[in-house]
Amino acid sequence: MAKILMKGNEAIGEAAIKAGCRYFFGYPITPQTELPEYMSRRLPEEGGVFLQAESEIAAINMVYGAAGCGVRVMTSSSSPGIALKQEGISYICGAHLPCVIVNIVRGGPGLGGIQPAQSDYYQVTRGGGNGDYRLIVYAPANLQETVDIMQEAFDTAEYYRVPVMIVGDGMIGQMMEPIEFKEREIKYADKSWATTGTKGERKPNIINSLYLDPQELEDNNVLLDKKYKEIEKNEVRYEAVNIEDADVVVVAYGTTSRIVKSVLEECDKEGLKVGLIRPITLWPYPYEAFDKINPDCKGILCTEMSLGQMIDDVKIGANGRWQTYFYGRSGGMVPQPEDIKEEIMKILRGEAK
Amino acid sequence: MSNLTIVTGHYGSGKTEICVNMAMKFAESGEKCTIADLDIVNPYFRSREKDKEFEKAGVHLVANNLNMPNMTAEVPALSAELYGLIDNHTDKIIFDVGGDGNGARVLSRFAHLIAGRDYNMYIVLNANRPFTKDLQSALSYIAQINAHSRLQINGIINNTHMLRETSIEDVRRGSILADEVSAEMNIPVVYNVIPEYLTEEAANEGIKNLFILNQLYMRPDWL
Repeated sequence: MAKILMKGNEAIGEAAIKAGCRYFFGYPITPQTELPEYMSRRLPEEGGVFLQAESEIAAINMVYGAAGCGVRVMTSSSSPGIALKQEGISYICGAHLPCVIVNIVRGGPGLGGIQPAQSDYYQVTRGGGNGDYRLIVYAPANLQETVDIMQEAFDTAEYYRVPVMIVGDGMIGQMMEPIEFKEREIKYADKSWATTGTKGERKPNIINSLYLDPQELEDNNVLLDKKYKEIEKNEVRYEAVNIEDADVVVVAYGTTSRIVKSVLEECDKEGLKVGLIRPITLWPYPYEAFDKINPDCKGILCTEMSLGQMIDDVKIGANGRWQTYFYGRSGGMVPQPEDIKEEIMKILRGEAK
Repeated sequence: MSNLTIVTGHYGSGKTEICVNMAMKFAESGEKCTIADLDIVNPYFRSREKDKEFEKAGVHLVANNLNMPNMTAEVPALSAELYGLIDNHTDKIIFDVGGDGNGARVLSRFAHLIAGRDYNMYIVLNANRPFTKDLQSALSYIAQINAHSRLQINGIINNTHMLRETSIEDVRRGSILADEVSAEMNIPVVYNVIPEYLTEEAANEGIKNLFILNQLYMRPDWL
C-alpha cells in the first residue's frame, strides 16, 4: 500500500479499523477529539458502532460490556478523561477482558492544559484504578510506529485477555506524518468465555470482577499475576542506540525521544559518545536494556515531559550501577534540543547534580 | 486579485504553513501585511504560535483579543479587529482558517461583509490526504466548505506533499488533481506549492504558478 499523509488521531482510528475494531465508545476532549470524530464517520461504513457516551465513565463501562461480548472494542481520551475511566479499567482487568484504550496525554494535574505532556506515566504504569492489575502500555514515537502498534494491539489484548493502552502525547495525536498501513492477518483468539448466548447448549458465561470469598479473589489475582509474568517475558519492547560504548545514555520515550535523537545526531558530529534507550513498552518496562550499557558510562539522563516519573524505572534499571540524572519540562512545555544537550554536557564535564 | 486572501482546507493540508510563508514573503517585499488566525477548532499548529517570528518580520498578527498567551488559549473567541481587516482595501490581509467545514464555519459570521467586497478564497488540496485524494472527494470537500462558510471558493492551491519526503511525483499528481477540479468548477489553480529543493525540477516539468515554501515554520526541526 502506498504512503499517505495522516494526522495522528486519524491514523490511530484507521489502524484500529484495519485491526478489526468495530466498536468505539468515547467522549470528546482535546487533543484527541479527531479520533472519535474519525470513528464516527468511518465505523458506520464498516458496519460498526460509534457511540458518543454521556461521559467518560459511561464510555469505559460500554467498553466493558462490549468486551464481555467478545467483540473488538476501543475507547480513547486525554489525561483527565482517562482519569475518569480508571474504575472501569480496573473492572475490565479483574474480569479478564481485552480492549484497547488510547490516551493522548495533555498537561495536568486537574484540568491542566491542552498541550503535550507525559505526566500520566505513574497513572498508566502504576495502576490508577484499584487492585493488583497491570496494563500493557505502548508509547510509540512516530506515526508509523503508532499505526503498527495499533494494528497489533487488538491481537495482543485478546491473546492475554487484558486491556492494552497506547500512550501518545498531544504531539502524536496532532501531528501529520506519512504512513503506510501494513497488510497483516488479524489473529483472533479463542473467545469461548464471551457472553454470546448459551442457545441452551452450554452453561452461561459470567463476566465479573466481584469475588467475596477471599480465597477465590486471591485465586483470581494469582491468575492475573501469571499472565503479567508471561507478558513481562514476551512483550518488552525498546530501541537502544549506541549504549554499549556511551559516555552518557539518555532515556526518553515518545515525542521526547525524537528531540533526543536530534541531539544525538549533533553529539555524534562532535565526536561525543551519547546513547539512547527508548522504551516502546512502558509496562512491561525494558529494564534489561540497562544491562547493555557501557559499565564506564558517566551517567544516565532521564528526560520527560513531566517533572520526573519514569526516572523511578530508570533508577530500578540502573540499579545503582550508574549515577542517574533528570531533566524535564511540564505543563505543555516541550524540552528543547539545546537544553537537553546542555544537560548531557554537564554530565560529561562532571558538573551534573 | 484582491488584497484579502482567505485560505481554507483540510486539517493538515498545509494551510497554515502556506499562510505563514505568504505573510513572510509580503513582509520581505516591503508590503504591509496582516495575518489573521481564525482557527478556533484546533489548538495545535496554529499561526498564532509564530507571534515572535511575525513581530520580528514586521507582520501584524490578529489572533484573539483576550490578551492571553497565544499558543495555549483554547477559547472560541475572535478579535473585533477582524471587522477592520475586512474593510481594509490597501494592506495585504491573510485569513488563516481552521480545518474542514467545521473550521470554515467561522467565516459565516462575516460572510455578509466579505461577500460585499472582492476576495480570494482558496482551497488547499493535498492529494496525499485520504479525504481529498481524488476529484470526487475534493469536490465534495469544496462543497462542504462553501456551505459552512457561506462564501465561494474561487481558487485552488495544490499543496500535495509528504512533509520532508515530498517528491516531484507528489507535486505532479497533485497538479493533475488541481487541474481536474479547476476544469470541473471553472475556478483557477492559483498556486502549485513546492519545497525549495524542488524548484528546478518543477520548472523543468513545466509546472506553473509555483509557490516556494522557503521554510517550514510550523514544523520543529526535530520532527
